Amino acid sequence: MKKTVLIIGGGIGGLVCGAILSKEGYRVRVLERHSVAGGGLHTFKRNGIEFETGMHLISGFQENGVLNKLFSYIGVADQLQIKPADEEGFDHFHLAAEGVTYKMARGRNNFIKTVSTYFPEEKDNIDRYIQRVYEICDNISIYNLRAPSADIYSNMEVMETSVSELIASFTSNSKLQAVLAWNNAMYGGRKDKTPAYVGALITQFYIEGASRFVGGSQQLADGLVQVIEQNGGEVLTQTAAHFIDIQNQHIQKVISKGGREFTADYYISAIHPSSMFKITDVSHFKKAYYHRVDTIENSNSAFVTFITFKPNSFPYLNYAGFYTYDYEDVWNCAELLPDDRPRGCMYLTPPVSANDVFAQKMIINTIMKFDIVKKWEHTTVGKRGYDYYAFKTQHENKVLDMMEEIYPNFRSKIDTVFSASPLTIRDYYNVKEGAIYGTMNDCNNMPLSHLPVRTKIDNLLLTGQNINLHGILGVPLTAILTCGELIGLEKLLGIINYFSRTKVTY
Amino acid sequence: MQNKYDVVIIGSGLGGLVCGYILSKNGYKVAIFEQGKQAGGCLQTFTRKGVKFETGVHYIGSMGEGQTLNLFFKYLSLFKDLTLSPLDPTGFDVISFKNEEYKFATGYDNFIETLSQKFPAERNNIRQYAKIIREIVLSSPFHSITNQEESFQFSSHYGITKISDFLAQTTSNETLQNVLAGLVPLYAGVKDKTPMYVHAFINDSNISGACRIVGGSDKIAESLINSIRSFGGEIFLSSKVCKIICNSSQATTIILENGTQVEADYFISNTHPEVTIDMIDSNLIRSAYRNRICGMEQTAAYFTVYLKFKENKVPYMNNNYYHYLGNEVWNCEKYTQEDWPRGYLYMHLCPAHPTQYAQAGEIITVMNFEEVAQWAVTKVEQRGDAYKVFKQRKAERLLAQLEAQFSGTLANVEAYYTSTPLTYLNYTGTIRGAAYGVLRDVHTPRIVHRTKIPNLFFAGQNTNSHGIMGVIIGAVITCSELLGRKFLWKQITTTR
Repeated sequence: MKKTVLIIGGGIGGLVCGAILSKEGYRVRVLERHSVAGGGLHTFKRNGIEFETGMHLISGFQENGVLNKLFSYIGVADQLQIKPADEEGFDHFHLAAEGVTYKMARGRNNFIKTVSTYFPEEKDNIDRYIQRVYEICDNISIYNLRAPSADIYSNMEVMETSVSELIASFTSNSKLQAVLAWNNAMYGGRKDKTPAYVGALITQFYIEGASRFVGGSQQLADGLVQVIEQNGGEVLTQTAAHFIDIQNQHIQKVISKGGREFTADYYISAIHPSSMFKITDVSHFKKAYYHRVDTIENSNSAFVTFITFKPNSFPYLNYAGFYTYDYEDVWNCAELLPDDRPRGCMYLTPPVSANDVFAQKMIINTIMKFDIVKKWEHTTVGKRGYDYYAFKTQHENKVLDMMEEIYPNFRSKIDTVFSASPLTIRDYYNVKEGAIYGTMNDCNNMPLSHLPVRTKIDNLLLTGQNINLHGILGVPLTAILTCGELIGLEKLLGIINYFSRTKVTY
Repeated sequence: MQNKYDVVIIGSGLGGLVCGYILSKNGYKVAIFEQGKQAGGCLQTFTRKGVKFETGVHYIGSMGEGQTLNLFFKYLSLFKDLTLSPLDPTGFDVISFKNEEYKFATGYDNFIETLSQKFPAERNNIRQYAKIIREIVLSSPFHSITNQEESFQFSSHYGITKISDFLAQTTSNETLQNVLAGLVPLYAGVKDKTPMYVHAFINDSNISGACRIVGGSDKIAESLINSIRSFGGEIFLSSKVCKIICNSSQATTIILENGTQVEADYFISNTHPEVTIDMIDSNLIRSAYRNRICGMEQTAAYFTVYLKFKENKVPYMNNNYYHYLGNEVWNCEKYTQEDWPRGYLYMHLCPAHPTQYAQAGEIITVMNFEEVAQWAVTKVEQRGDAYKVFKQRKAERLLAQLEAQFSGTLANVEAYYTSTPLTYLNYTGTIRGAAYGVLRDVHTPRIVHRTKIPNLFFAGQNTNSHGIMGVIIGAVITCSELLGRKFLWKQITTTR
């Protein structure tokens, strides 16, 4: 008889675990509270136009890219429609104060060359910094689909140093420091907190293969669901886990909101740990553990502005734009300016086809603290009061003012504007305080912010963005670790490496 | 015509006439210049085969005793010349949506009751909705006659909350959301752009007593003109203003198309702001301001079929029928050639003498200016055969939709006439034939009555709000620049 696995939460983590385990002979069942599985991959339609909710900038799908390997093994890679971002500048970093735009070019050498043209006297430092970034990445076993020797990340130094310190150790030029941390607004990097390995991983990951889903990120979720179903598993949507029944350090069953009871040999929680604690009797966990997990600092939230353009009015941009007023702003992008304007933003025009000339839509992310919307925290979707809606429009206008600074007459190209606040994110993703990237990695306290996938409950494993690392890179890698607990990590990595020969060509 | 006046008003639409009335009543020497042969702007009517048709104002709200517009009408001495015909109080407007008819009844209690019968589970939400729109109206000092606040500017959360957010807050029932927004053609609202107060003012005004004007809306223009003349003001038709001349600090002179120059101390432009700005070549108007005004989005434009019925055949329908063919009342302007029209407003005109039969009706639907742009350079009655064929084809499609809903009507149509966005452009001078001028958008700053030229002001539907009430209130705000707010307010509220 096949061993059974019940996975709570149909986000990327849950679905990747589901796909791997169902391929490897487990009978998998995924419980998803929404009508469509996908979590951060989920897309929604408004006025007939599809928008991604969370996964905009992707990478790792280039030849030999780690995600290319993983998803080739899973068997969805060749059906994904992926478009590489501009080679000459996959990201554009606009510095308003100086009117300069820095382009980040694809590939290690290109990247060094391009950034050096802005800072010729720093060429050696840039070179050495990037070399170190690549070194760090080489040492992270799982990123290279190697079994870790002792810990997941074998190099403690890069876990206990912050990315800001790492950069500062290579250059004292504060402008260059900011430029090298341009992507903070994408992954919520924070000064003196975000560990060096996180910054290094993300920087290298995108330098190697920044790209986009053509037609939205839901395609990956749909592909994973298909794999699970083809291998005899099932994904139950509109089925929220309501209670996890634990006895004697062992999960007996999970009861859904509709009263259905589910039993399995193993359970994987792919939801925010705090959300998991809410649906179980926490006394089964050690107080210290429960307390520790529940008090891990969450990442910041975001205010996301969604724009649809009038037809043929705004060009398709094959890069993501990062905008800040001043160099220092990259390190505190969640802090509003004194007049409540955001300090910067990240924007992109998701492609609809492989050869877009004009953009259909734009997504503009500004990092926002949950505190800003805290006064409405007890309200629910659609019932938040007019002051809340007025606040949203006001903030949308601040974001549009910022876009006008980059693209004069921006407003005249717009068809519609709407937005999601930290509250929207909280309520749709079911994450505390709308933390887009879940729990925060803090280099000052790695043991605290780093959760093992195993728990004291003998048949419960954890996965998802709150364990280890978030994002399109972190979550699938953690899923491998989680599945490795059942299959055997070395064996699983061997299988992935062996079966990942299929190549995706763009 | 004198060569100098106290106040020159450009455009004789409702805003210009109300400004003319207020200022001439208060002793200013006023001259109004109108480009067309007929005064009145959206109050113009036309007659075919003895039947009068209305072009802009088809019914007015807030006419109950003690209601806002009623008070303004008294102040403007309009009741001496006007007879009103109340629409059916059990359903002055009918929203026909997804094969169901929903009635809007006069008075809030009736409104709530009638709608709750269709949505029994939503009674509390409907009550709450009514409370909110009343609250919005009362929070605007001019709409609530009793509330004398210092500020004329309408400001609150309602000014920047989108209709979409407002309706979502009201109810999660999508059908009800659509029904409540059923009067959207009266403000050409865009769900994610138009502020909720626009919706609230229109719905509140209609719930508070909707009437037709017996004999046509041109009676309003006629009455105001007579009053203005009796106060010593002057109105010049066929007198198009081409230029507003400024010295280094303010406007001094207007130049008419025939070259005549007229000086004034104050200037009020009741034309579309973009048209006004185009008349001014002065560095008092900075390019940022010019670009902003000229870059604003316009509301939708309309295509209308005017029906003359055979005598004593079509029973008079004492309500307005809003019919929607799709799954939402929104986005009618986003039609394709295949699915046009996505909805229409059908109504009868109030005959001058009481009869149970209608003499005339109108069907109004959205048409984008692009469809007629190719004929924009031609002149009225000289647009060529292709334009005539275009209009006929469109009219036939619209008539077919009407027949589908009101079968047997077509057999009783003796003749029909049409107007397009070009017609509006021609007769009212509104950019792109936009029915309500610039679009109110929560993401775009509003046009205020003050311009960058200290003695030039805007009036009309593009400032403040549109519609009879919005324009009258806007004109009062504009005139208060000359007369003082408190003084004018007192004068209006002490009218008996």
